[in-house]
Amino acid sequence: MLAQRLFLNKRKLLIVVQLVGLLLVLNLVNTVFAADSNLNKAKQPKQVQPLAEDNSIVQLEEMEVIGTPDAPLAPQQSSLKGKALQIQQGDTLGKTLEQELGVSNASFGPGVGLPVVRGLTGSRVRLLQSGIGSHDASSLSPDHAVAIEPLFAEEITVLRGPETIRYGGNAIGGIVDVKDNRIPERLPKQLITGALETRYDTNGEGTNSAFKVDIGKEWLALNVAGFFRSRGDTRIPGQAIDAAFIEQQFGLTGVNNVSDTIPNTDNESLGGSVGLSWLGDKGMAGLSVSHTDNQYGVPKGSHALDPNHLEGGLELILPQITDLSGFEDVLGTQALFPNIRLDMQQTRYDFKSEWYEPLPGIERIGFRYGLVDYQHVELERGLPFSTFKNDVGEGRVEIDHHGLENLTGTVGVQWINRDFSALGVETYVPETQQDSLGFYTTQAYTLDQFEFKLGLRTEQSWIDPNASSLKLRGSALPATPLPDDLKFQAESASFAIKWALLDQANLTLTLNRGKRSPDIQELLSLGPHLSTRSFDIGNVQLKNETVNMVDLGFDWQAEGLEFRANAYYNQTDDFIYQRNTGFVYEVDTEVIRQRCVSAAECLPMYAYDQRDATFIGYEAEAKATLAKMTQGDVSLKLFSDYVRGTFSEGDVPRLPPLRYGAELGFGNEVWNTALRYTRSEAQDRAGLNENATGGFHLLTATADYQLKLGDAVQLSLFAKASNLLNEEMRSSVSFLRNYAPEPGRSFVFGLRATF
Amino acid sequence: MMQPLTVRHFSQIGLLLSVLSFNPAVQAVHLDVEVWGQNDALQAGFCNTPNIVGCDLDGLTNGLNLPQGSLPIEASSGKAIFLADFQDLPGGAFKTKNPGFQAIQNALSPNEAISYRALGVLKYWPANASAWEAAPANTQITLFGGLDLNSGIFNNPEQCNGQLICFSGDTQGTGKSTVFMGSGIQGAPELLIDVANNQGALHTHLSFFLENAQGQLGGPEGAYLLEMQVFSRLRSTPSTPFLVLFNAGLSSEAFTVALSALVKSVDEPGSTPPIINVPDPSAPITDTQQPVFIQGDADLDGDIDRVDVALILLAAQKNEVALVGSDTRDMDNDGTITRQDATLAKANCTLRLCNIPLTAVDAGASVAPAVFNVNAKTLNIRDVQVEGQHYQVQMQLQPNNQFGLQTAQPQAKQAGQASQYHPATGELSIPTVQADQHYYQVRLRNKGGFQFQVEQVQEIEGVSE
Repeated sequence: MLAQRLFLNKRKLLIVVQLVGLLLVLNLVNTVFAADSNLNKAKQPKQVQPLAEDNSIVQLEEMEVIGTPDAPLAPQQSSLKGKALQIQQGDTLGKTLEQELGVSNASFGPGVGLPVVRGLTGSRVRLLQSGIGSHDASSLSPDHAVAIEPLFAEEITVLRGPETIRYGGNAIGGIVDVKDNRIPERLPKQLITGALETRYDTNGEGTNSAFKVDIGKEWLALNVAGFFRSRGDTRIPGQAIDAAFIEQQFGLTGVNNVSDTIPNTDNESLGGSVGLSWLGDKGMAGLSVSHTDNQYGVPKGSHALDPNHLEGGLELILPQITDLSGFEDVLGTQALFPNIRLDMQQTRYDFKSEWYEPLPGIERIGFRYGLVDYQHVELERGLPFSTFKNDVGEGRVEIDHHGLENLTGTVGVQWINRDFSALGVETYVPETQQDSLGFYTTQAYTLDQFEFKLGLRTEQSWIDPNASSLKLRGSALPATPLPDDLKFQAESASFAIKWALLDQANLTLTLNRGKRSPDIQELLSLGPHLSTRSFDIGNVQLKNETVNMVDLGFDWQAEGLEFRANAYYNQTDDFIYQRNTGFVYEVDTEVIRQRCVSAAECLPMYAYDQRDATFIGYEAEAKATLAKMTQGDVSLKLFSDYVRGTFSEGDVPRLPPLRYGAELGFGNEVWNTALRYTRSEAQDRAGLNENATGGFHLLTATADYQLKLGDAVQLSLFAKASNLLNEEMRSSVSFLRNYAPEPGRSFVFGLRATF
Repeated sequence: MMQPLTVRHFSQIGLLLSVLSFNPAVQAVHLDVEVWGQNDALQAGFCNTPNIVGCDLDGLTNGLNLPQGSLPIEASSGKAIFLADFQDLPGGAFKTKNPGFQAIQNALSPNEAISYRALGVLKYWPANASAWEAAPANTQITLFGGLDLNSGIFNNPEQCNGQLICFSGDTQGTGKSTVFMGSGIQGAPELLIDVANNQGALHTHLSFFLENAQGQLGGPEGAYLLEMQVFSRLRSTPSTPFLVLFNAGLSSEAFTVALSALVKSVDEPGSTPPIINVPDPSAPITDTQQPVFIQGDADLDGDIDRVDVALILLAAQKNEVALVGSDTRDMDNDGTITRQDATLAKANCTLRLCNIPLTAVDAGASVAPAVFNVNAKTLNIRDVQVEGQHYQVQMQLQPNNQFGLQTAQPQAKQAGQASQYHPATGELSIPTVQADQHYYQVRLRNKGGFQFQVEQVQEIEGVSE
């Protein structure tokens, strides 16, 4: 096979692909400049027609609409934008999406929130920023924040099904794409438009402020945006640590516990971006540079839980010492029970260009490239002890066609080059280079009331640890030899058929067979991983993980009534998981033991392994307009989702529980209010080595009000009250649920001005 | 700096014990079987090195009419009886790490592997009983040995089905335990305790569990007695067998009765039971292999950790005078224990809980003020002075001639010329950076976010120390 032969020399092939991408850009620019010799005519780019309004600068001419920007969402797809996004926006991506069907928030304190899609997260869910990966360290460990700032989002899409083929084979759990318009894709409605937003959260006295300005004329558009976020420690009802769990798990009583707040959960974040685009009649090209700083703390885990048992009898010696000045760094409270802080920085350079209708039958040729420079430093007692770095380049070239009357589709190539390193104390993963190259196509064919979609992808990836061996710190063991190069080949296929049963009712059946290659930490980790309280052992012989999923969806839209539901069955072969070896690692003495007397001093040793897993679940939502009154409409929404994951023996750990609820809305075009109740049932199927979590009631209320200040400024006032019942909520998907519950009651007040 | 152990150290350890002895609980949590080699034989005993940490029994023996610092002997056999309590640690009522096993420096050969051999049957003394009996059928004590690097743990992925580390036997490790039962020994009768370090020292605590036949923690209240000996493949003669007596929920008085039944004091009321006496601290050491201790190792456990720093600090607070001769707490040898000694001990502390260790520090870092590893692109600066404080720093070269700060570890001032960092200007001046065989004078500027821009690099002739 040609592809196989090409793969033999990956470096050459990657260079060729990148050159092809560059040539496409140059060719595009040349062609478009030639076509746009008379730019004063300033035709509106065809693909942005629906957004153009009264504009004295832009003279609309006869045009052909390309694409279906406002097409109804597929049943496997959900989207958050506009006012809904504004209301739901949280400090993290997971928090922002937690009310979406099939999505949960895996928190690690309020500074970290990873979206969990149908019970899957980490390496199985690709997080994208306008189509290019976030490329942070969030898939490596649950205490690492996502480097995507939700405040910049204009639309967040959660995607499953055939379209995920475009974004990489490891997206077997789905895609979360945050569209932020950092690279302008359309001219603003007038020369200068923009928005200012500020909000205040009573819980933790959090403040968020953001701005964006769009400037554009004729063929040039500029976007400048920035944000600042600051919050104090999160307030909670009751105590942070689940004392009953600690006593049952570790046999400890009288642990270091705190009430009302979770210490070390404050965070501060600052960022901005500049994007510039050339928007022509035959195409566009743009780039953006963005930078984000995020400093946050993570709640204390189980280490140093017990103040009554320190090493060497310190708990008896220290009370006798009256003056510790000059020795706080080794004997002070912070030294004994240190706070862990993370200082994250990311700089991105994004490029995008598109060439519209270059040839008959070809709708678009697109090039997209992102260069991401990510690092975070983990600090203990204010001193850096580990640095994680991820330098990634990801690119994609796509060709969209409409070759036949009812056939449209995309053919593309995607490549990723990644240099990863973790230096310092927590170097449980070696420096590694990872490259991947994938070819894919998605095709859609319409025949009467049937729509067929097909997605195919082949991907090859190489993982090359820079070190030839790994030495376990403090161990007498000789260094573990590592392979020179690990190679994986993954083929994925997806097929969907949508049947328009009635005018506004569709039935969709999706069959998906996707393969995910093992990630770096699954292959090469070796060492204590304090955030997950585990000692991780990688396995260099892991195979691809294969998802076999059947998804049946139904959606129906009628006057005043909408309904959509999905049910799925997912048989995953060779699901990669962490098997408990039965051995433990004493952290302080750095010794491997077979069993541990004091569980709080030991980490269980987990080896990455594979076995089959089955997931079954559903998502359902119904909306109805109950009454239309002069003051506004009264609406009701009912919703529920559920996933159950099982191995041949036992349950898949950290899955969300059954969730259901209702939302009552009342409002009109000027103002809206809503009261939402969500019941999360207890998660009794906690999985091996996990503990059950109790159910809780979550009551939230939202309100917003729109008004105009003159002709130029639109003002939006909004408020959100969360956890009105001030319930103690411990999320079953959170690694830290026994040490840090979800936030208590909070009130958010915000103002957004657009001009 | 290492120094030979002298009798003066015994007094020092005695002082240490007086620090810890105000609370009986601490006495019960660190009981060790001391192990040492004597020609071709291995010895196991109690406080062969007088007052060494880990031979403190006061919390257990206070109520037993035993002289302080002594160990009872079973009258019928002459075997030493080590006392332990299943409730001495926060692990719960049925687990303990005591007794541990300890050998001071040079007591064993370098890298000598010490193992235990389980003997006899598990005996049980029920509450309010009058005689020892075999443990009930459904009760056992399980002891997990250390992992043998030659046969218990492997780290070649080819041997481990791809795993970077794996363990022998089954994956749950159940094959590597010793089960003491009323009917005898099951499981592995011999298992590794630990391997001595390069100085011939060893200190480790294994894990004892009281449980039922199904491995569930728990057991009837009472006292339990097991027997073992230690041996080494390097020596033909194992130690004499010894006993370990566990208290599982008995009152001190009831436990005394159980012990008394072993030492025969019941038959001779008022008499002193047979004991092992601690050697006289003033007596000369007869062992030709003189142990050595590390300056700053206040508790003489073979390392300098923050416990040592705290002990020296406490001694300084009490204005203690250093013991005549050498005192490991008197770091500067000025005859008194001061806060300066604690500061020096802190600077020499290298353990994880005392200081954050640097990784991949080049060996050459001790020669030049800074070393640049051209392969790893790391810059290790031995001593950076920042407003009177000193740090060991590691940086990583990044694109655009920038260095990212990886780690900064506080330390005492090092010998030689320090690099200077000025927080006001963000300037870091390094007098000498060694790279391959060349030397450079380098100036960096802090650009924020732990990033340092290279502003000046000038080649110089050699190390400017």
